[in-house]
Amino acid sequence: MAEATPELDTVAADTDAAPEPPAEAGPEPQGANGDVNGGADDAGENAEPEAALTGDGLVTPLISTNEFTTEVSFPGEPVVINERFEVFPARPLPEMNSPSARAFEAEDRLQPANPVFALVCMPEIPARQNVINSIAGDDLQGIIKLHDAGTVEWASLNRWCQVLILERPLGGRVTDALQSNIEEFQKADIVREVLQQGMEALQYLQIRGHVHRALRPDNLFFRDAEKEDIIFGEFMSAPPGFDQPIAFETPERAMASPGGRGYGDSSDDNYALGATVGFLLQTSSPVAGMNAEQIIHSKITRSSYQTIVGANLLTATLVEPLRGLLEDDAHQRWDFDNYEMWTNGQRVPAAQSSARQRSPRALKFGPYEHTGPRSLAYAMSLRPDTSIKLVRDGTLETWLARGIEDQELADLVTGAIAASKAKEDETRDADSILMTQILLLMDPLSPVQYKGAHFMTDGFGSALATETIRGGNVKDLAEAVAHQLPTKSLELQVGGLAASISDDQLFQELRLHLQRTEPGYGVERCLYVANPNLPCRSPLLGGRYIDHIEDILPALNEAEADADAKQRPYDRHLAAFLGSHFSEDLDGFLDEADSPDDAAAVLTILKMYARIQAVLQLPEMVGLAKWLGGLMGPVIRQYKSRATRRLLEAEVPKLVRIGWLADLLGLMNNTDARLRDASDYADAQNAFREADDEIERIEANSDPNSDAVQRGSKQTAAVISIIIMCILVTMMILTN
Amino acid sequence: MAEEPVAAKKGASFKPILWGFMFTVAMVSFPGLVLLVVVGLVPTFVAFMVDKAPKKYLAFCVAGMNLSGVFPAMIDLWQGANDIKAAVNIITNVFELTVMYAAAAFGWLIYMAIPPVVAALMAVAAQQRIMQLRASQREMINEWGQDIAQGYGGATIETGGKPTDG
Repeated sequence: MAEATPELDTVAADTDAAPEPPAEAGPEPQGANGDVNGGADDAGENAEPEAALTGDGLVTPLISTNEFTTEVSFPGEPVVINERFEVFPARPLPEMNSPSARAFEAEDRLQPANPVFALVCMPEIPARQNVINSIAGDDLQGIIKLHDAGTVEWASLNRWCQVLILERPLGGRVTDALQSNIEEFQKADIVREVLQQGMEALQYLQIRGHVHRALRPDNLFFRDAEKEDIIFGEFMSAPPGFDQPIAFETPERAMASPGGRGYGDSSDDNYALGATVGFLLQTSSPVAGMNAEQIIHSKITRSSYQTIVGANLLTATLVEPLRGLLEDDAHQRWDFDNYEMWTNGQRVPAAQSSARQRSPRALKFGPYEHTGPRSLAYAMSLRPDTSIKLVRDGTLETWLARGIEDQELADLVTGAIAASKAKEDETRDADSILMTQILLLMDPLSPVQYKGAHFMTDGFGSALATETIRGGNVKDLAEAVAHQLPTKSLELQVGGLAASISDDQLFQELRLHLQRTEPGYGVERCLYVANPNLPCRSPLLGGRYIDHIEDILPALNEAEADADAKQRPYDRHLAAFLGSHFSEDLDGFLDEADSPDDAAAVLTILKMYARIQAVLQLPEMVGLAKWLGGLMGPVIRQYKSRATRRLLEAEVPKLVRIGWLADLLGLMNNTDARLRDASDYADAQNAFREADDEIERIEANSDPNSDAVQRGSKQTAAVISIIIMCILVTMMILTN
Repeated sequence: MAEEPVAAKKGASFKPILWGFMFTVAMVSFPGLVLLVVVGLVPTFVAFMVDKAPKKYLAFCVAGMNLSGVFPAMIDLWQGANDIKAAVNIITNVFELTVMYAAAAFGWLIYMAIPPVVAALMAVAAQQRIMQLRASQREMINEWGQDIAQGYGGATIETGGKPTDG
């Protein structure tokens, strides 16, 4: 299935070619010679895996999912979405695949003539649930229609997956049409329509409060068989920008890891549309075969337009909008008003060329000689080991002060270095923190680049989700937050921290969660706080796709049948998911649930679930009650009285059959009964002790030779003697 | 505080005087009866002197039976002349004297025979009580677990503070 991805042969002729930078892309990569370009080796090491990950900057490789490939031969029964749409697992539609989702044939039971297909999302990639909820069933101008969505258990994966039911474009992909044998003027017309209809679609999407962030040539379709109505493909199966080849991302977002490119805004969509049109408009691409570093370096040093748009255009009429949409300064990039002015034949004010800081003395670092701080910062971010030497030996400060002649920036860097030296003893990560801060100072628009974590501040959530799901480098992301580096980035944005106060509050909250390691906190809590739509990743859910808190307990209720009865229905992911999604503060429960005392921990879990069941008005849950009831042994054993234990053991199955956790909790957490049990136990202990003492006393005093026995027996003899005397005397008196 | 020993000393010194006074009064009022009692209760006096135990159980045993032996003679004397001569007649009567001293001997016999029997009975009673207490403790263990037998001896500490299923 992987090979079924539509490739842009016209623009990406040789995706497997060795990533040699073309002549126009900048200086030839240098060797490992020189004092500061030792990182050239690093470049090679870094660039190769990145290129492998992101293709050559033009196409997104299908995310590897060997599990899905078996699906083709799996004769599965159709699965039904919301009792309306039938999805056929045995009938894949590779031509409709998305990078993060696989296409299968589907049918609409209500309207069989309605052409639909299904996209089965990777269970491990966070879909844009808010978008799905918002647009499902709506007709969006210029956007593929999402008829419905649901989660089903995908048999071959043995996992629950999000399934999107989408309208089936009857005209196929636009790229297929452009690759066909049609005249160039017809191709130009198609591209013109892509721009026209695309801008209208993006404007409509903006009104709906969404961004597309998945705009690329292979995600354009003809809605109709006549190939007149162009629509954008789906954009909800993966986080924003996740599936985008870096050529279609702004330079700063392209620097981030795929998961960390961020939500962005409509200007990012406009840029992607400009890049898409630029690629479709050319018979050959100037960036074909370039690796990620080369493309981004070129965009920074030469501009995106010059990087993406070459000389072989199908038509020159679209050069002006292309230049406007590919403007690197987001504030000067064309918006919908500018585009409308252009379509009306009005003159669009030219973008003011920003006075780029350039140094007459180029600083050679990595494969390039840098004349501006942004390109140097990007090169440094790829080579942290050699970059820190550049910082430590003063080369950078000198170059900024004397080459760039930006004394203010040089002073900021000097201050950061001095502050870092002061903290060297406090943290082992001082160098990495310093590097991140310096990179942000040199390029405030760039992502937070700390060790292996590269993310935009609005992309932290999806970056964390991606790394967690892929088993990647979560530690670096967590450390970046712990060191407050996102806050540093927000401070350097236009408007400062005040303009991003809500974002900063989120990072401060995440930082607090990271300071705790108990279940319910830590990275897992950050994962669900930063990704409210991410399904819970608890293995206890048996692969079910649960992204709403209302579904957690019912899922556990179902999972009970296959669960290990000795295992608690509670783990770090469940705790974090509940802690971040429940409307009430569960922190008190989360703290107690981590108790080393089994009884306290299990009882707290029962309390928490009972509370959730009551607040969310969930139905009876016999399975979960049975699961929890089976774990109540330690709680029952807290009662000292065997009779009480037997009573409780007899009562638990009765309450389990009812399925109300609150009833079970009432039985297990009866304070009066506990106090009575404790009091009775203390009384019994005293009685036992007294009996012991008495036995000891009796044993000591029952020896015939003991003083007590001797004394008692002699006393008895004396009493008998006196009694006899009394009897005799009385008789004698009476007889006389 | 300082007055108590003085009072006790006064009481102790006054007691023999009181006894002496009462004996003198009795001797003057009932000389025959006193003579009979003094002679008849000789075994009791002997037992009182021989018995080194603080509670004088031997003396009580002998005294009880001895008094039973003397009492018929006392009745005779009381109902008769009730003088010294009548008393002498009685105490010189071997049969009367034998009854008095045999009764005293029987009292001594009681003192010799009863304690072992009583000790054996007490041992049986003790065992019975121990069995009762043990049964009661077993019931408590059945109800509350083994911890109750160890609880006050530090068992909860030995089990790490957790209740055991005992």
